[in-house]
Amino acid sequence: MSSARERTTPPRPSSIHGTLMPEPPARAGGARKKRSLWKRLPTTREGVWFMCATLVVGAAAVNAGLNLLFLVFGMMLFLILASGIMSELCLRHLVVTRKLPTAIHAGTPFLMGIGVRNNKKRTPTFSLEVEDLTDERPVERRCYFLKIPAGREQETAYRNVVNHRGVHRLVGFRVSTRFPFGLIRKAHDIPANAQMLVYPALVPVPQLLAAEGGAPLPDRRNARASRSGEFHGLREYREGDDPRQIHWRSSARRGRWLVREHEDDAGGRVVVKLQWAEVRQENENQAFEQAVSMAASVGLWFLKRGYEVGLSAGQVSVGSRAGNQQSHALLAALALVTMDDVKAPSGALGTAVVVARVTMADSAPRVTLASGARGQAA
Amino acid sequence: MVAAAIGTLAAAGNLTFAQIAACLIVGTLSWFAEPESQLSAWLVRLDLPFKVLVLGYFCITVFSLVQSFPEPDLTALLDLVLVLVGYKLMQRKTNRDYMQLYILAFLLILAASWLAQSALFALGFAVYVVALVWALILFHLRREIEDNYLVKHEASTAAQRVTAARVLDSRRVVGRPFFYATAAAALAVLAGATIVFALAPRIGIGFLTGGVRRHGSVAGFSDQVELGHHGNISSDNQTVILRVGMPRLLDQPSEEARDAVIASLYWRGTVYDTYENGQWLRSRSDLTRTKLSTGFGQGPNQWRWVSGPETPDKPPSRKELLALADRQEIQIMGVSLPVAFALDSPVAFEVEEPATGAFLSTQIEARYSGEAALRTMRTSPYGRALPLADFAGARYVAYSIDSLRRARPGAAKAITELPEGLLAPYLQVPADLRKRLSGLVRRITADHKTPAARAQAVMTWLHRSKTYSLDLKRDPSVKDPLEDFLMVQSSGHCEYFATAAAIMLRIADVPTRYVNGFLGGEWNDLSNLVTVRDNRAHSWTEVYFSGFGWTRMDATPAISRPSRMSRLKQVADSIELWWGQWVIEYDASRQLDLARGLAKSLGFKRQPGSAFSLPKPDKRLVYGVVAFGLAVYVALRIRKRRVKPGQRLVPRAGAQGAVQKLYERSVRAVGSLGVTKQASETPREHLQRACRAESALAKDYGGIVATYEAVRFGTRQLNTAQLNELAHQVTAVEALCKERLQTRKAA
Repeated sequence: MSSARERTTPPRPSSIHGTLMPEPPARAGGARKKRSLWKRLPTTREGVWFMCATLVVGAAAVNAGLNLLFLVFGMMLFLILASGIMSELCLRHLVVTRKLPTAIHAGTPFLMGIGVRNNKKRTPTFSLEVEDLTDERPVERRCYFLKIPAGREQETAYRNVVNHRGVHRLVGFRVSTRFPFGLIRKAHDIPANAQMLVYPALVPVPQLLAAEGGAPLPDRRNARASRSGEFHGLREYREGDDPRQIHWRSSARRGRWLVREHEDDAGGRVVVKLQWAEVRQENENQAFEQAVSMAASVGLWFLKRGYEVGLSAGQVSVGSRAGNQQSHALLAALALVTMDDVKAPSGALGTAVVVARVTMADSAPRVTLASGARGQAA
Repeated sequence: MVAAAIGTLAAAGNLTFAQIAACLIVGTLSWFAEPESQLSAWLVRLDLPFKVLVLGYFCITVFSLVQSFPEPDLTALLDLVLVLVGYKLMQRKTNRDYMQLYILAFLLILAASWLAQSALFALGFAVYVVALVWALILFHLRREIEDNYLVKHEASTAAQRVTAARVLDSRRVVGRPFFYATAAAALAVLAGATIVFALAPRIGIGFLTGGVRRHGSVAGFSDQVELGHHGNISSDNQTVILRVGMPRLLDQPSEEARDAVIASLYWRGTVYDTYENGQWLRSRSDLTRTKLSTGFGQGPNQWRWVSGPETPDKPPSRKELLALADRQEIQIMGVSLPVAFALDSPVAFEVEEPATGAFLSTQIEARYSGEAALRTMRTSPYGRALPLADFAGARYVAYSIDSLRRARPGAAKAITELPEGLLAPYLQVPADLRKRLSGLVRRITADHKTPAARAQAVMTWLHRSKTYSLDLKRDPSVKDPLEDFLMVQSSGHCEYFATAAAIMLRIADVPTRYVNGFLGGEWNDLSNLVTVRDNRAHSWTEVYFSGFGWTRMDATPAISRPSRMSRLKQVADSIELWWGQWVIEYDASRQLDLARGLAKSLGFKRQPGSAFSLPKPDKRLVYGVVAFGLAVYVALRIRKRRVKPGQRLVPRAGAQGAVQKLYERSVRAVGSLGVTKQASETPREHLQRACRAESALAKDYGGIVATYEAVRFGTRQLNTAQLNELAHQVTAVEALCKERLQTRKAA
């Protein structure tokens, strides 16, 4: 089960390796956060009417001394009480887990999975709603479970959009139910901290297929890896690597596959350089976000075409690599980069054939391609 | 639920046969008018005419309410609600329609609770509560399903709502256990309602506005009685009017003897002296006014002794009167007029002092012609007794001496001793009637000189010449119904016989008066009470014989009526009696009775004073209560520990010891799958072997082993949250192993 997988997933550093940092599953019957009675027992519109009717019937019974009306009054009171007890039973002994998506981009809808396990022995839970809480406030969407039988787990997902890149904290869940009569919405807040790293939004990239000199950039997806470059070092074997690159002696010594890396793989290395530029004061944040999005899009554009892509954004830099893992590294770095990072002077770019400069601008970020140089400084 | 509400209302006796039949027909039709059915589609086309009809009925209701102002007839509103229920049953389309239907059904239950007297209300109410719980839950689920579940058949089409019926029809959602559980919840609600009923404070009635509930009106006891209404006995009318306990009946040697006595019980109600245009009226002459006096009596109760202008100057002592009199413990119900019924003829009334906490009391008031009335008083919280306009029944004791069987000379004044003009109202006959009937009366009484002989002659003539019948015929050409009965018709019922006897004797110069009441009753062995129903209504005549006083004479031919109930009827009657005493009349005094009973059973004894004290507590009871309390406390503590997963799962030891124990638990769980840890195996080797046997163990068990190694062999310290997390992992491993074991066994 995915809930079991999440429990054993060790916490990951929040810098660049992935999007989410889940915490242990939350239990509704355990250390839930206490809310005030009124907040825990907000009545629905029908509930308000029902309570008003109860008061009126009670007053009529007392006034008229009609004993059978007292019976009706008692029934109404105990319907409210039964509503509270049954909804409380529904909310007890639930374990709520998040099923986290692999990548979340700002402004792009994603599905957040929610799993609920009913740990009660006999009693099923009916009509349960689960909401994610961010800073004590529920997100707009909620997950609905009609019935979770005793001892069973059910999963569903809600569609959500996060508009800003960066780290978003999820502080817990709000499980609520209006079962059985819809008179009271009873809710429990369950603390369950998790951090969600939202990557920059992806935008269409401009025409980058022509280099500055006019020669088109080749698509390197089908290019065979060259062994002509200067030996750089050894790294772990990754799927898709040329078996001829395996360094047999080191692999035998270390007990795992290692392959050779060369300094220059036939000009397939690109550095995306995010540059700060003066823009209008009121436009600065928007221009910066657009530039970050463009940088991410450009980086992914090159990665998809088989290039090894690195990032240079002021004092934030990511070494050039190819492959899927590198896209997460680039996006994670860009998710967290700030304007101050970009304003700071950058270090050496390393060896690169192409430097893709993404510069802030008032209207839209400017993207330029330049031939790279070994050890070129920004 | 709607059926239960209508059934409850019908049990209250407030629906006519036609209304019940209409409800049944509409309810049956609505069963087939589910949304998306053919009938429903057909009814939808008739929506507009239905709406017009309902609107028209609404206007009629408003008009009738305005007409009946300032005492609006609320039954018109009830009829409107029934019409709306019928309309909504036929037009169920949306959730809103269902909600409105539930509200209308609730209004019917409110009406039933206002009007019902019968214990059948309890049955209907219980069914209603169970149905209400089911209906509300299913309605809630239906709405939630429609709001939350969407289905998309194609990418190009919009998402559609899932029909609730499809989901709810699945037994996986709503099966038999669901209904059992919700029925249990409904019964709990019912029990709670009973507790509220018993404990809710009764602070009085009409606290803000209003008064007591009126009963149905029974004809024949108002100030003006039209001939032909009171005695129109219908065997269908089973409304209980009186319940009477009579010690004399318990002393009867046999059932037959008791039946004979019951058949001869004349329950005297209202008395009239003036006959005009086919109606009996009261002249309200001061001379004929009943005298009520206080005085001799036993206990603190309110005593009223009945006397009149005909009472002799030296009457028998009250002690002698009590010795002669029949004692009747009377409970009046089902009558909206405050008539103090008693056996013919009452000599005294005794009313109990209101119990502490009771907010209603009864007073006896004088009327005319030896008749007494009742008045319901409301006791305010400040002790003031205020008369209420409405009458809701009463309890009192009456003492009566049979005016016919115990007739004796000297019991009343001779006619010559009576105040002048006293008998004038009792001799009054409309002039034209006297003129037309004189010949007949002269012919009947010609040979009879004494009043008694004349009276006997008239009675004999009526018995011989007229027959008893409820199928009354009337010749419209004859103005007066009495003349019609005597001259044209050959049959009539008790009112005609009694009126004929009274008027004919008056024409023969014998003072008479006309009495409306009840004859006989039905004996209930279970409650030892006589039940008098509305179908026992009767009329008779009282004749004044000089020196003997007013003597009952019944001109109606004897009619045989059963004086015993069937066993089933006795049970039902006893239930109704209990219901009346403990539900309908439940008040603060009953609450105090309950509290006293509870206190007594707990060993408290009431001291002569007011407060409860505990002079000799029942030690066994006290120890039992303490032991029970302790047991409940311990059980709650154990349960509390069980429901806190962290506390239960994490052993009470140091962090390292806890990790050790948790690890051992997981090893035992994995061992149950046949992967027992060998002594020579390291935890990691055991993990690898376990994962080969069951790959799903890799996650949780791997985490446990890693944590265990870090704590056991490293320097890692776990906080409470981490310990709890480890405990959850162990639980997950145990659950997984258990599940796999069960799967293997099943295979």
